[in-house]
Amino acid sequence: MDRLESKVVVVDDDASVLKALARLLKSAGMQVATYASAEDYLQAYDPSEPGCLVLDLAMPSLGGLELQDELARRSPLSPPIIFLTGRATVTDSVRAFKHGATEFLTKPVDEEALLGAVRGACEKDKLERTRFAEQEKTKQLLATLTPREVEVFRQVVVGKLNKQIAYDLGTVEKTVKVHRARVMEKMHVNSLAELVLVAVDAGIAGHRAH
Amino acid sequence: MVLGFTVIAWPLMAGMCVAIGVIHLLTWIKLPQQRANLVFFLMAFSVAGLILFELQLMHAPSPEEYEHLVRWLHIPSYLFFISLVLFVRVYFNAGRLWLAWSIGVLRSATVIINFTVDPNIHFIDITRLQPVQLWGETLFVPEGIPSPWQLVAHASVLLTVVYCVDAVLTVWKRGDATERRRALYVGGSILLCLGFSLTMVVSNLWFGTGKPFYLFGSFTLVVLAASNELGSDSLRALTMSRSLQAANSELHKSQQYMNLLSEAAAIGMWQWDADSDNIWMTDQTRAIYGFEAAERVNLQRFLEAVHDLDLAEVSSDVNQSLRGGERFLREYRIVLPDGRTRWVATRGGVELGSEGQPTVMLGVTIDVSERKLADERFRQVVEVSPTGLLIAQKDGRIHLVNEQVERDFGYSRQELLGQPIERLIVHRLHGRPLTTQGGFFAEAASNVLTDNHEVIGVCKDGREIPLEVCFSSIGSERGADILVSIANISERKRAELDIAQQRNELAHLSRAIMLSELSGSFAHELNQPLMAILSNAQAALRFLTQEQPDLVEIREILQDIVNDDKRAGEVIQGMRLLLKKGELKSEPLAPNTLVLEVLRLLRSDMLNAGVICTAELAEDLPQINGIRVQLQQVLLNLMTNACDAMADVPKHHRRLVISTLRDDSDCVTFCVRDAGLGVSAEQTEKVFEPFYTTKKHGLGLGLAVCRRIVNAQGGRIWAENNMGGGARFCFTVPIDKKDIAWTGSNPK
Repeated sequence: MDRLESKVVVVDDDASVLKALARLLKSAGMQVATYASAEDYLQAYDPSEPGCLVLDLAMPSLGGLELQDELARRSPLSPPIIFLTGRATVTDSVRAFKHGATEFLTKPVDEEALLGAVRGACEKDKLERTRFAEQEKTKQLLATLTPREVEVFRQVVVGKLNKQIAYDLGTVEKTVKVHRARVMEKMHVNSLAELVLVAVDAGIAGHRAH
Repeated sequence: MVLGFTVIAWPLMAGMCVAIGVIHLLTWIKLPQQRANLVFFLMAFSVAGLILFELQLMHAPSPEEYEHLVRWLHIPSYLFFISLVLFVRVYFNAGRLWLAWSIGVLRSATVIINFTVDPNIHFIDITRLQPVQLWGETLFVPEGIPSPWQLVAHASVLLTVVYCVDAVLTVWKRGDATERRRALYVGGSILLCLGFSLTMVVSNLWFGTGKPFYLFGSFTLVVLAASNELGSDSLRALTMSRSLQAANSELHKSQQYMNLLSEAAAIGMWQWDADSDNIWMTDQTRAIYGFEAAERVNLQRFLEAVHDLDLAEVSSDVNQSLRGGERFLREYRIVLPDGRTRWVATRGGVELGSEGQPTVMLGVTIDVSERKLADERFRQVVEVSPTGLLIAQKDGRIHLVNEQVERDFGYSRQELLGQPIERLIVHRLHGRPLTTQGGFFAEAASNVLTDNHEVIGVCKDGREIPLEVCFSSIGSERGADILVSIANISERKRAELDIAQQRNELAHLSRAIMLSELSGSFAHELNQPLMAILSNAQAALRFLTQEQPDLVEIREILQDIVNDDKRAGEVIQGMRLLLKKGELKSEPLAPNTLVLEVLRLLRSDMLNAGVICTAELAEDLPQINGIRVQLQQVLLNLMTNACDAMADVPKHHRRLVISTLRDDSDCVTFCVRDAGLGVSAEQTEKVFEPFYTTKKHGLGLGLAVCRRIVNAQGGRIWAENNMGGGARFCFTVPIDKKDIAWTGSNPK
């Protein structure tokens, strides 16, 4: 799943801060990339690279918060952002979190806090990617289902009995059972519970039957 | 010739005598005082008579006739002698009286004897007439027995001679050149003729030489001589009378002029005559004193008019003058008949006679009420003036002070009069002495006004007070004095100090406010280096736990820490500067450095506000003179205002430009340009007023304080609109004097 190691990207317009942060992260054994401006980063941005982003808030031209929005626009797998700012206002922090920031730290920040946040963010990123990958796979598998199978899938995960499904679809129970078995096979699951999980993951199910 | 010489010449001479006599008679009628003319007429007339008788005698037909003629000849002869004696007396004002009377008596006796004796006084009997050839004619000379009585006649003639001689001598002794000449001619001619005649007669009678008688013709000489003198006398008299008339009329004209002038100048002239104790006065004098036109004024009355308060002095002056003839000059009050008082000035003097007694007192009186009033008013003005006024003589001695000076310095005026002015104000002023040669007093005398000077004055109790003095020249009896106006500026100095303090307080307060507004910025500026230092240090510690720590890297880290530390220090320094209060001295500053310092302070703020800042700084600017922290305050204020103004402007258009330039010869201009809404025409002035603000939470003091700061440092601050939209705030700061002539190449 993660062929590449997580890379920590640091974006700050203050040169000495950038240098120091990079040093610290490297000393903790992490992979680091540094950019002096948001624009530079955007140019080099690759959504497939795992990792997280340590981002300064106040930067000329394109600020931290704007970058956050731009990244979200570009990819659902935009890296988790740890804001690191010398000037923290409540407004900024609220907005950061609302737009999906992982963490909001103030300078000067102790290594424990920073490294902890970075590790957490990278973990989160990994999980997200895994989840995303799984989602993609599920979607692919779903694509192999016939329309009738999809219908059955839907009804089954809602908790309906075969009998009911047969009645709803205007077919017999047996046919339903056959479809059910086909679905389980195609979706690579062994139990109903798993099927439900897959369904929830794929976003097909989520509501309880009335 | 048909007629003989004597027949022509004798009547001619007689006629001439008569004519001249008549002229003088007429002259006497015109000038009756000249009695000599009348007497002369008588004399001339009698000479004419004598000449005519002599003519007849010379041509007498018979001795009897001759005798007869001789007898009657004594009438004109008598008249002649009498008039001659009188003439000498009147004309020369000489000749002894007893001689004159003797002559008169003798002559009278002669006449009496002449008419009583037969045939006459000269002859007892004339026997015959001897013809004599003379001048081509036959004339008759008597021959006969002379009478002893004629001695009387001759005696009188002799006496007359003596009389005349005596008279001439008397006149000669008088010594007057004119008189001597007269005496010589007239007297001389008389003597000559008389002597000649006498000699002739004596020679004829006693020696029978046979020559004609008295030769009265010769007496014409006397007539001529006398007439000449008389004539010139009359002429002289006439000339003198004419010039006297002319002089009189000149005098009259002068008097009229004098009257006119004295009236115009309101000068009253008067003269007191000691003998009559009457004072003659011009109309003007009467007007001044209020005397009636016809009133008779004597010295007593004149003095009574003097006011009681001044009477003693005036009387003393008059008495002194009466004794010793001294002149006096005094101003005093008089009381008019209607009760009014008047100030007059009188100058007068007494002339003394030969024995030292006063003869006349002359004087001139002027009404000086107006001047006195003006003086009084001046005195009052000086006295109540709220500025201290002092008049000093050229040598610095105080002549007059007013109440304010007494109050300011704590002296009474008696203590100050006559004292040198250095007692009150410092000896030297800008290094120049006050009163000695080349000092301020000399300068004041030549100019009308000198500038104000700030000096230190010393009070009676030794306190020093700040003063502002001004010198000017003022006329006085001594020629020119110095008027010194002294203003006590202690209050003003105190007020100035107060204002300066308040200004500083205000600036400080404003800075404090600014500091709190910028605290976020400062925090940020400090946090950056702190962050860097912390991370670097912690990284280094981690590196050190490795087996083989990279020392090169660690050294680098440590160096970076040091740099960041310094950076943090600068930020704190900037904060401290903003907080500093006192010790605000002007110093030379580099304009661009000032701008860069402020930019660093505001960097994060501007980032926060999304403002894009550009600096357009001129090269080679000279150093300016100002208070660093206050000028930074101004720049900070203008820039934060600019950022605020652009709050509603879309993000990428928030442009702020700060520039420095030198377009004026003696100052540097700083400008802050924004891309906001700009300022309206009325706002360009109003924005600098205190408590004017468009911000929701602003105090409105920022720009007011900025203006104060800029003005106090000798610059200007103003606002204007940009060409491309937005506002521009500029201010100037004067160039450091040392650099004022400098044109370029100064390291920033």
